[in-house]
Amino acid sequence: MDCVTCHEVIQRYIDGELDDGQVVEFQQHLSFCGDCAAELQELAGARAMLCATREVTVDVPAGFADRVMVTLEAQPEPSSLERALSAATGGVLPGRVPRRVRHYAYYGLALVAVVVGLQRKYGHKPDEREAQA
Amino acid sequence: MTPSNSADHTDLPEPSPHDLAAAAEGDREAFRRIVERYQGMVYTMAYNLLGNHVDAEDASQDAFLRLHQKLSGFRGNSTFTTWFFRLALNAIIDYQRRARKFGALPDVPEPVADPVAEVLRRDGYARVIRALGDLPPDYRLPLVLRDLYGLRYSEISDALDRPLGTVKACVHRGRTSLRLRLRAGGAIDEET
Repeated sequence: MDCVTCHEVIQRYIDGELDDGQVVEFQQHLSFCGDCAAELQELAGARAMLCATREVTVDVPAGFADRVMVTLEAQPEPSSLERALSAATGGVLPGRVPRRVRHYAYYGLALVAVVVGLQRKYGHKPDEREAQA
Repeated sequence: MTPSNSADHTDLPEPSPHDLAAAAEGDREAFRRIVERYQGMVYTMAYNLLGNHVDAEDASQDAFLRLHQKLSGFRGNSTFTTWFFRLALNAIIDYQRRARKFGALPDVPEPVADPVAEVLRRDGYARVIRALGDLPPDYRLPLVLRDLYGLRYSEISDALDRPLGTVKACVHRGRTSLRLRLRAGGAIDEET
């Protein structure tokens, strides 16, 4: 493995995505290439620092819970229908629809609009005799 | 989607079943106890993702309002903390998307006047948060979700509604940028 390839796979190594053979090749390269070894060490160090911030809890501003409750008081109570919907869907209501599903929905709506438009323009219209009957 | 993270929020003691049931039925005092129990987790998550206190507070409020709406849908298939973690994460991401707050300069949390170790720990935290705040906008959120909260790439792709390859590229570039910024700030020794 050369430095260019090593640079290409270094992130996948960190993510644990390399197969066993690639790992061996990668580690062999690191054993004689100080630059690549240093790059890996720095990347891993930065990642470790980021991970370490998990342990820090940021101080919540004073009165935060009060403000949440005040905002809540100002909101209308969810209707029994909304509660029932939420309960029925396990709390998962529309709002985070995957892009692909959204696209299908848009295409579907556009198709419905075209069909309705064509029907209005060319569709069967009752003539006067039918209307009288 | 089950979050794959193993972050420390799972250490939080669960609220009592009575409080959960009462809050779901509209008992404000029970709901308040849940807010007080989880405000640290949610606020920290919002701050880490958004990088400033103003947005962190607004997004955290959104998360608790959403919890109030959806609490009756909690089935108990996972722990409440795991369920709420995902709900809050989505609320924060939605807030960020609405507000288009990418790239806002972070303000650094005040160090607490507690033991020295805590201050040192927070100094390291402040450096990381500063470096994160300097990252190009599209890198920060995927990187934090991946390396801080341990979400899978596919989960991040779903949450951010961005292609998997783009998410991976953003995380990789984000790591490289973070590394360079931490080194420039002296947090990583150049000799290492």
